[in-house]
Amino acid sequence: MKLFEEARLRAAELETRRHFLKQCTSGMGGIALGSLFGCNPFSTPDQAQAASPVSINRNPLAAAAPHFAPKAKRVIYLHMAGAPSQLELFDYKPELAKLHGLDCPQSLLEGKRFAFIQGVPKMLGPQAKFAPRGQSGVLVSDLLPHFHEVVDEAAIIKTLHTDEFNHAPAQLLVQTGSSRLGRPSLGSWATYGLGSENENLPGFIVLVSGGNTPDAGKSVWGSGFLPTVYQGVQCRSEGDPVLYVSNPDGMSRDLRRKSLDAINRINEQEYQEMGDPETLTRISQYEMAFRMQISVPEIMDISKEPDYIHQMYGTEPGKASFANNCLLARRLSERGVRFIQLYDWGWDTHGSSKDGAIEHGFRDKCKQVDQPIAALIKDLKQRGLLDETLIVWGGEFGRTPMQENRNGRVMPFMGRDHHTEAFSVWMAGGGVKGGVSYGETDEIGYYGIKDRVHIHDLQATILHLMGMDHERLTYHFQGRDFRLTDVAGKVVKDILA
Amino acid sequence: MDQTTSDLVLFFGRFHPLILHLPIGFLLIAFLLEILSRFKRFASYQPAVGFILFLGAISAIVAAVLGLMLAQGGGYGEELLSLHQWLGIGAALTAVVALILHWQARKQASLKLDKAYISVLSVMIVVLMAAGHYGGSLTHGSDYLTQYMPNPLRTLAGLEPREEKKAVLITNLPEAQLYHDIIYPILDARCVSCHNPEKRKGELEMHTVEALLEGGENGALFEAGNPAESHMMKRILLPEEDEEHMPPDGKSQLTEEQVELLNWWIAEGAPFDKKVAQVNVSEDIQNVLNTLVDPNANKTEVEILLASEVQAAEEQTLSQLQTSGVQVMPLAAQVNWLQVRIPMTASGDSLVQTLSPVAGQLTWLDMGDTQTTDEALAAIPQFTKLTRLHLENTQVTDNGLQHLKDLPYLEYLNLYGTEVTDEGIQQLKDLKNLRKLYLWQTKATKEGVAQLQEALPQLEVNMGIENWGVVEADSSVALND
Repeated sequence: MKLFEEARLRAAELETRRHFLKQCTSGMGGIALGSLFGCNPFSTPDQAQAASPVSINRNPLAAAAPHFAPKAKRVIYLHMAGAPSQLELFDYKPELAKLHGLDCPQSLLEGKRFAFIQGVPKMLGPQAKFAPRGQSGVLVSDLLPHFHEVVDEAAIIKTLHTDEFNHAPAQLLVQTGSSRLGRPSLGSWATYGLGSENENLPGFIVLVSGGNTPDAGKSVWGSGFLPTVYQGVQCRSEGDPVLYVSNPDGMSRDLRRKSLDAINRINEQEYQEMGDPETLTRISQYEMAFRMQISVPEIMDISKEPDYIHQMYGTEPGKASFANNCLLARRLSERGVRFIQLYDWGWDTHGSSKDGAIEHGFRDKCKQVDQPIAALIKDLKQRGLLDETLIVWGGEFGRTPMQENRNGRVMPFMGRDHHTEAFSVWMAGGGVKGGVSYGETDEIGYYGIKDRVHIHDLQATILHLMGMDHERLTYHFQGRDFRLTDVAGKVVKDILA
Repeated sequence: MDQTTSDLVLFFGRFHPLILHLPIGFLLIAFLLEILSRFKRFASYQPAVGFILFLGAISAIVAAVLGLMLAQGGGYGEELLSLHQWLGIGAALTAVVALILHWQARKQASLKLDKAYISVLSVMIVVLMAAGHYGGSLTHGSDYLTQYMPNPLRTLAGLEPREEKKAVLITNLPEAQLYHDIIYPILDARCVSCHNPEKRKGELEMHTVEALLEGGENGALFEAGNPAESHMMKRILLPEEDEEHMPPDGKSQLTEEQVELLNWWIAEGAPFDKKVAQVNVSEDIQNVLNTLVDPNANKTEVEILLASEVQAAEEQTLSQLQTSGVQVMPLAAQVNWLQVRIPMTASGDSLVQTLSPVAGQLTWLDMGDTQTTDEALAAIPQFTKLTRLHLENTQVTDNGLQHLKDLPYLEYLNLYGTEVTDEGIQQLKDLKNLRKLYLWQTKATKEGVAQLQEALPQLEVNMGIENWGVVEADSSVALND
C-alpha cells in the first residue's frame, strides 16, 4: 500500500504546470466554446432578459416594462362564479327553440360525461328574447338591457371551451391555467410581470360579492409558486375593507411605525443571511400594509361619490354588492391598480331551486350585474380610462342546451347542466375591437364549429393586451420554467383593435 | 497582347478549374501518407509518398500556370484574386521545395533535414487550403460557405446572425403578376428550401410551376378554386404542434397574411399568368396587398413613429428623474420610447421642466389628477413626439391649450374635469393625428365640438355619458317570438 502511494507521489512530482495545461486544453476549449455559443446556442438573446423582477434592492412590486408596448395598462376581470348560461345571454339559437321539450338525440350524449345529466334529457330552448343591439347589431338577449348600450365597446367570444366540468377545477383552469392547485393566478402573473403603478396599494385586488367565495376557494387569486407578494389582496365593501388593517385599541400609528422598523431590521438581516425572496416579500408587505392603513379606507369609501354616480351604478354605500364592487373597480383603476378581480357568486343555475332557476334566480342575477357593468364601462369611458383598461367578463364554463335531469328526475324549474364545449366570454376596452362577435357554435350551441378559443388562448390574449408574450412570461420553479398557459395558448388576433 | 493569343490563353486558362483539384488531392494524400507512414503499422506506405508528392508538385505548377492564364480574362475582384494568385503560386513552390527535401532526406537520413521537410510539408498544406478557399470564394462568392451556417456557428465565426431575405416591394400593384410577384416569393421564402430538386421532402418540389402542378407523394398540391380541399392549405392550417403541419415546427412560419394570400390565390383558381387587376380582391386582401407595396400601409403615423428607433435616454438622466419624483419608464423592454407619470400628489408645473433631457424619447405623459396649471403646458411644445397626454382634473385652461398646437403625433388627449371651453379646443384643430379627446365636465359644448370635428373628421370626442350614443333596444325585432 505504501508502495502504491509512493508511486503516485512520484508521478505527481513529475507533473509540471505544462502537463496540467495540456490536460486541460479540451476542457478549457469546451468552456470557451460554450461561452462563445452563448451557453445555449438555440436560446434567443432576449429570453435571458425575460421578466425576473425579484432581485436584491428592488421592490418586487416596482413597475416594470412589458415585453412590448401594451394596449391595456390594467385589467378588470369580472368572473361570474357558477357559470352563467350563454344560451340566455349571447349565443342565440333559434333552432334550439324548435327542439324545446324533445328528447336529446343519442349522438350528443355518446361518450360524454356531464356533472348531473343522466339518461336522456330533454332539449331546452332559449329562455330569453334576442335582438341586434347597438350600432354594430350584435345579438344580445333582453336580460341585459343596460349592456345593450355598451355592446359597441365589447368583443363577444362565443366559442370558449374548457377541459373541466366542475366548478372548482374549471375556475382554477380559467384563473391559474391549470385545473389543479398550486399555480399562480392570472392577476399574480400580471403583477409579477408588470409590477404595480401605485406603491400605496396592492397590485392585485380581489372583490367578492354574491355571498360566497368561488368554489375553488382563495386559490383562484393565490400566487402559487410565485413570491407571495403577487398574491391577490381581498378587499371588502362592507365593514373594514381589509381585515385587521386598522390599528387595534391602544396601538398608535407612531408605535406601529417603530415596531415595523424593528421587525424590518430583523428581516433584512435574515435576508442577508438566507437570500430567500419571501423575506423581501414580507418586508414589502408590512410596509404596504402600513401605507394601506391610510390609502385603503380612503379609496374603499364610496360614500363621497356624487349621487348621479350612485344612480348610474345602482350602488348603496356600506353594502357588499356587485354594484359597489364595480364602482370600487373604477376607483381602483383610477389609482393604477394593475389587476382588479371581481367574483360574483350565484350563477349555477341547475333548476333545482327557485334561486338556481333560469326563469327566476338567473334573471335576478342578470339584473344585479347588468346595470353596474354597463355603468362601469361608460364611466371608465368618460374618464378616458377605457382605452387603457381591459374588462373581461365570463364564467368558468357554459351550460348545456339540454334541460338538466338530475338523477333522472324532472326538475322543478328550468335549468341547464355544466357544459365545457362552448360558452361565451366578452372583453371590452384596452386594445379590443368593439361591437364584434367572434366564433360560431352549431345550431344548438353545443359545439364551437368555427374559431374555437380555449381557456389558454383567452389567457394568452389577456397577457398580450397587457404587453406580455405569454410564452416569455415565465418563472423558474422545481427545475423548469413555468408559464400561465402551460404549453398552449394562441392570441386571438381577430378581436384586437 | 493581341486578340488571338488572348483567346488561346483564355482557352487554356479555362482548364484551371479542371486541373486544380489534382494538386489538392495529390498533395493532401501525400501529406497524410507521410504522417501515417511514421507509425510502424503503416511504414510500408513510405515509398509511395515520393511519387505522389511528385505528381502533386507537377500538377500544382500546371494549375498555377493555367490559373495565371485564366486571370488574364479579368472579371474577378482584384484583392481576392491577388490573394488567391499568390497563395496558389506559394502552394506550388512549397510543394516543389517539399519534394526536393523529401528526395534529400531519403538520400541521407538526418533529423534536421527531416524536420525541415515536415515543416515545409505542413506549411504547404496550409497554403494549399487557403489558396483553395479563396479560389472557391472567387467563383462562388465569399459568403458561399457561410450562407446557410446555423446562427450559433456564425456567432462563433464572428459573423452577423443570418438575416431574413428581404421581400422585394411591389411598385405597381394592379399590374403585378399574381403568381410571380406575390405567391412565388412566399413559397420561395418558406417552402422551396426543403421542396427542391436536391431535397425533395415528401417527393415534392415547389421551385417551378411544373413541379407545383405535379404535386408530391400525397398527390396534387392544391385544387384550383377550392382552398378548403387543397392539400397545401390543409397542411398549413393544421395546428403548429401537429406532426403534419407545414412549415415544420421550428422552421420559420408563414405569417397570417401570407396564409391569407395563398388561400386567396387558390380560391381565385390558382392562376399562373394573371395580374392582380384580373382577379377579385376583397377588402381584407387589399389591405394585405397594400403592405406588399408599403409595409407601413395599414399603420397610422403614430404606429410608424413608435415602431421606429429612437436613441436611448441616458441612464443617469433617467435615475435623476426618478429621484426627482417623476415616474419614468420605457414603453416596453428594449424600447427607448418613454412614458412619464407625474405622481398625483405632485405639481406638474415644476416637474415637467425636468423632462427636457428626455424630450426626444417622451411619448406618453400622464399629469392627470395633479396640481398642474397652464404654466406646465408652456414646456410641452418641446415634446414633439408626444402621442398621449393626460391632463384630466388639472387646472389647465384655454390659455394652456395654445401650447399643444404643434404636437404632430398627439393621438390621445384627456382634458376631462378642466376649465377648457369651446374657444380653447378650437386651437387643437391642426392636430391631424388626434383621435380621442375627453371633455367630460368641461365648459365645452356640443357646438364647439362639432366645429372642431369639422376640421378633424376622424376625431372621437367624449363629453360624458349624456352624450353617449345610445341606440335604444327595439323589442319589436325580437327574433324568437
